[in-house]
Amino acid sequence: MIDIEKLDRNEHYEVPEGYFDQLPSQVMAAIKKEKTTRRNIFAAAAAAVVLLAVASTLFFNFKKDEQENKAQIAIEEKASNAEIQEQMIEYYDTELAQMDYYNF
Amino acid sequence: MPELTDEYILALFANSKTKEQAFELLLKKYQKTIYYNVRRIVTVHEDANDVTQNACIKIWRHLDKFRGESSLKTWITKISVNEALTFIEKKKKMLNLTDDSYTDFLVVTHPETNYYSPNEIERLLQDAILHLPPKQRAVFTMRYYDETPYAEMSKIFDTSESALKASYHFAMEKIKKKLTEH
Repeated sequence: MIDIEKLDRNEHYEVPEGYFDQLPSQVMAAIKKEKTTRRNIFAAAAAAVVLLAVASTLFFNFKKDEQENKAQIAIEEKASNAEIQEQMIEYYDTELAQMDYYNF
Repeated sequence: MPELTDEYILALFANSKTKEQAFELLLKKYQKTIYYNVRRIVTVHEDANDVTQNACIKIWRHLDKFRGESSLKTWITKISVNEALTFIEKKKKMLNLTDDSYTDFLVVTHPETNYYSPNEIERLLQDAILHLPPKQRAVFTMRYYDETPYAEMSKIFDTSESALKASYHFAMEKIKKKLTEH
């Protein structure tokens, strides 16, 4: 019968030749790659935030300008309408005056 | 060249200018500890290589949080073992396999896993170890091959010493039973 306690307790798993000579540099390369990827992700996220900030500023400024323009147009339209009304009143007054004149 | 102390490596790691150099020294010192603890759990070299690299990256990310509550070796082994056990769980789930069927799957897909020793008795022992559930295999091999103290294993597995002693005992019984079958 096999006595497990008396067996040779050496590590049995084999590894490819030179594996442990290369492992530290492979891991360091993976770490450097990860650092670069993280930096790129951070830079991309920062760029996205800046882009979003610029876009929203432009959007709200555009909205503000649009509202101001609308208000300006409304004022101008109002002024223009008042002017037309004034012209019309003047015209009718003239016409009426002329009619009165002719009626006479 | 005398082996570098953990304190020296950690002091180098704390300095941003020598951080990478320190980690490379740490890897040279502990790479075999990491790899073999992982390999005994995942058994296949290709898987062990991937898990070892992932464990090393995790150690790199968290080393500045190491508070010295255990030895550096224990802390590193804990990360490696967790990484290997998580890998096995994910793979079993992905392939929809149990512990037993996963072992059969390994034996079929990687026959070299089971037949690397030229010695018949060692082959039988390896086969018996391979048929233990992954965590029990990790406990058994850590104790049997490395003679790791139970107090240290308790920190690695987050399990009481008495539970680990029981696990080792049951593993030994299973292995002896399997060996007597031949």
